Amino acid sequence: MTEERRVLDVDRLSVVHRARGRRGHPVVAVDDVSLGVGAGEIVGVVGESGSGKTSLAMAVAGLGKISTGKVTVSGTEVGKRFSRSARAEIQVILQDPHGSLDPRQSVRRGLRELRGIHSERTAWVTDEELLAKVGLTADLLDRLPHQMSGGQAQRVSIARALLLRPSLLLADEPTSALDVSVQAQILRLLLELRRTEGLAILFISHDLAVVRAVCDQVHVMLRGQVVEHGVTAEVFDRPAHEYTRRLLAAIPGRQTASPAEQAHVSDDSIPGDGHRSPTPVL
Amino acid sequence: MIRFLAGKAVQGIATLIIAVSVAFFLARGTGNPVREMLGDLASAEQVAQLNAQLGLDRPLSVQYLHFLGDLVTGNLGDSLRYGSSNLELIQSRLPASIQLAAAAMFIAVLFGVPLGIWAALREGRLADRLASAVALAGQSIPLFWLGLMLILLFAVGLGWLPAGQSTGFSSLILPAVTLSTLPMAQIARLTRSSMSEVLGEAFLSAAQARGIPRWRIVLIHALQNASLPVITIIALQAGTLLSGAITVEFVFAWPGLGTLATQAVQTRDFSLIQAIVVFGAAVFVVVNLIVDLLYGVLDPRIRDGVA
Repeated sequence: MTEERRVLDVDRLSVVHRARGRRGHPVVAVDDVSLGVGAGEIVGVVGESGSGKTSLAMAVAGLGKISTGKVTVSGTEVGKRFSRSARAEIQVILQDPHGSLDPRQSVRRGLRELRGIHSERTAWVTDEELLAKVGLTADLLDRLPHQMSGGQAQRVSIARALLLRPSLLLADEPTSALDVSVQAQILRLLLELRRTEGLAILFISHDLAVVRAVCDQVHVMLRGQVVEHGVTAEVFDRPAHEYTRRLLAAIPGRQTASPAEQAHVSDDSIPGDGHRSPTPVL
Repeated sequence: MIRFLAGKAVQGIATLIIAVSVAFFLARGTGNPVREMLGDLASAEQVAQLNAQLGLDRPLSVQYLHFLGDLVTGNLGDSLRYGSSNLELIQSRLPASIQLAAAAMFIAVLFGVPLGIWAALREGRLADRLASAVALAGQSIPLFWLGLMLILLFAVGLGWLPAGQSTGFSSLILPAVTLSTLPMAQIARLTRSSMSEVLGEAFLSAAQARGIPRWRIVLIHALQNASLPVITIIALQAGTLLSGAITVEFVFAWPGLGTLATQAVQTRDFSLIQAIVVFGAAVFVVVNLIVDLLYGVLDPRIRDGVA
């Protein structure tokens, strides 16, 4: 991957949270992390809870603190003077599909609001076409978040992100709150969007099986540091760091097909879920 | 929706019946109203004559049924002191009370909501503590004391505003400011706590990531989702202010329902007191019903029965 094709550049990023209380010590959530994501590439960040994944994600999205280092998205540095159009270049998909949508805003109103704010970026697609891209039908336009299933709500979140034509999608545990079968559908959708829209994706997850299925490269985080990184298959097949080996060993024995496996092999959609059958992408 | 409305209406009617029953039995359970009205020097014949005239010589159950029957037909009885219909007396004082309550509520919302938002956005910082202190002071200061201090400063000392009575817009300022302090404090506290809760929600982070301006995230997305408890307290306080701000009206000699109630108590006009209590209860029931209906309008999850 050449430097010119990079969508995201994280250069020696550190995030230090202030101490709580008089005797508390500052917490180093992210410690000197560097990584990059190229156009159309999916890069995973894995690690257990508290490893600094979410602090990294928030800093990259311009939603969290950057103590030292630099984050650049499509050539624009993320920081306090992160302009509206620069912000649109990186879009986030959060863990809780219902929680990431305004409970009082219908899908149509949410899209209209974004069109009003980013008029220069959003004229490329109609609401109906946009929903079709994420496997939803137009009858969902007037629904409120609580009137949708978790999978539908996550697809709406993805649609809202896509509307702004971002170069990078930051998916922070996008499937962990969903049923196994719905997880597979969302993973298939992300892979399809990578293929059709050329989206680069930074995929944050604690689910190693999912990361193995969808990511081209992976970074393993431990206590705020990247302890190992490389091409996903190589890292998973020949882990160099003890922590990575322990993580891989901790994957529970799989009695049934995992979402990752379903994303590979299954083309079923949930009947009556308002979804179109997505095309297999792997 | 119809079932929801019917349920709320039944609840409201039950509340109203309980409130008017309490008013009825309290008026008669605290001694003979006629004896209290005529005084100790009245003869037994005079007491008996007035008792018969007011129907107080009949059994309590008959009086009660008669009282409820009158209420159903909108008859609140006649004032013993003024000799005119209680309803007409209430209607004559209502515009002044509405004017004062509306002005006080306007001030309370105008300052209380922004103060609460400001505190929530700076949670745990000095600004938050300052706002909380202001709200606490607003809830703690006795209204009669504040009213008197404002009169001393702005009417007696500086001579900028009239000290009392309804003589135009300038005479509304001091009583409205005094009356607004308690609802303003409650609105500020509730806005702060409700906004603090909502500001941590993921959909606001998502909105920020989508490039939605901060003012819009706070004032549209966060405030709308934090508004239910705030609207509840505004409506309930509006009911309280409307049904008689007795202390403030008394201090400023404001010709509203509060002053009418004070005069009724002073003259032992039990019929008028009863009518004012019934009116106040009716205002509360109606306001509560409106709040319940507003919930469904403001939060579709409540309308759909999922929140």
